[in-house]
Amino acid sequence: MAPKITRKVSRNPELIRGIGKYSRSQMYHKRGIWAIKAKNGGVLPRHGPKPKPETPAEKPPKFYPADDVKKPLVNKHKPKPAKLRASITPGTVLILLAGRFKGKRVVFLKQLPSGLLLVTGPFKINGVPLRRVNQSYVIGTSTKANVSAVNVEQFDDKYFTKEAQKKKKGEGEFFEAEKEEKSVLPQQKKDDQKTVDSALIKAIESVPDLKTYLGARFSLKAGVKPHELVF
Amino acid sequence: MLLRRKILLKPWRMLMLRTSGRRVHRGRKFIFRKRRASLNDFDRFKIMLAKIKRGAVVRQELAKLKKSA
Repeated sequence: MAPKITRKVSRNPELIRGIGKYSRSQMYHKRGIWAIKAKNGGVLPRHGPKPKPETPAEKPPKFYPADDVKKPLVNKHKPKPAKLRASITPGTVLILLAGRFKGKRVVFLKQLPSGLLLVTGPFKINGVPLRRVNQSYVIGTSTKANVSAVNVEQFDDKYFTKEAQKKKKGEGEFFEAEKEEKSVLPQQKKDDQKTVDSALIKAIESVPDLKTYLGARFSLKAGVKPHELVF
Repeated sequence: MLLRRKILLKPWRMLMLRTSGRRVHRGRKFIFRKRRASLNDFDRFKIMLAKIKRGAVVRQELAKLKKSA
């Protein structure tokens, strides 16, 4: 018995789509079907379909749904974690380009599981707290601060989720509209901010002018083309 | 007009980058812009600080001279 040949390409290449190089009878001989038939008494052996397990006869329902019920398509897609740009490493000074703090320069601390970047101003220097930013909204500079003394293990995406506010309903809603509750930052977050920043500020102050640099805003002068600049 | 300007601009820039261009104000401007673009963001910031400091010193001296006059 010759070993089975696993073919990667069909023996009957297509000339045009649907038309093979060899006809059916030629392939009959190429594949040696005649020999198999001769061996098996002139009949090509065939596997019968597996007998289906007998299902108990169900009563057909009296009514059928008039509207088509749409089944959602099977979606097995799992997003891959976002790649971190080569120019962004822990300690890199980033320039924020959009949002509340656009133009500010911040220090990158680490990448969170969601792919967002964890950055801090530090708050004392330029008012930017610990927050998450998407990579698309930053410019990475070549300036780096020493963040080896900063511990950011406790921060993850759950840390930044906001508490769902319960809506109050009732007759008092009209009168309470004037009393908008200001969201108060929890004390724990303030303490965390101070802990992280105090370690970071020491490293920043050891480099001349770096503190002033982080406190300043990024701007462009007339005629300066940002795509030509080196950061 | 635009075509002519575009054609002229390239050799002009090449000329400005050579020695003779340094004496022309516009040429020096071009050279400085090129040089600053090649620095990184932090270095550009330091230059700005140095300029501010220099300006302050100059203004002080000028004020003294005005006073003594």
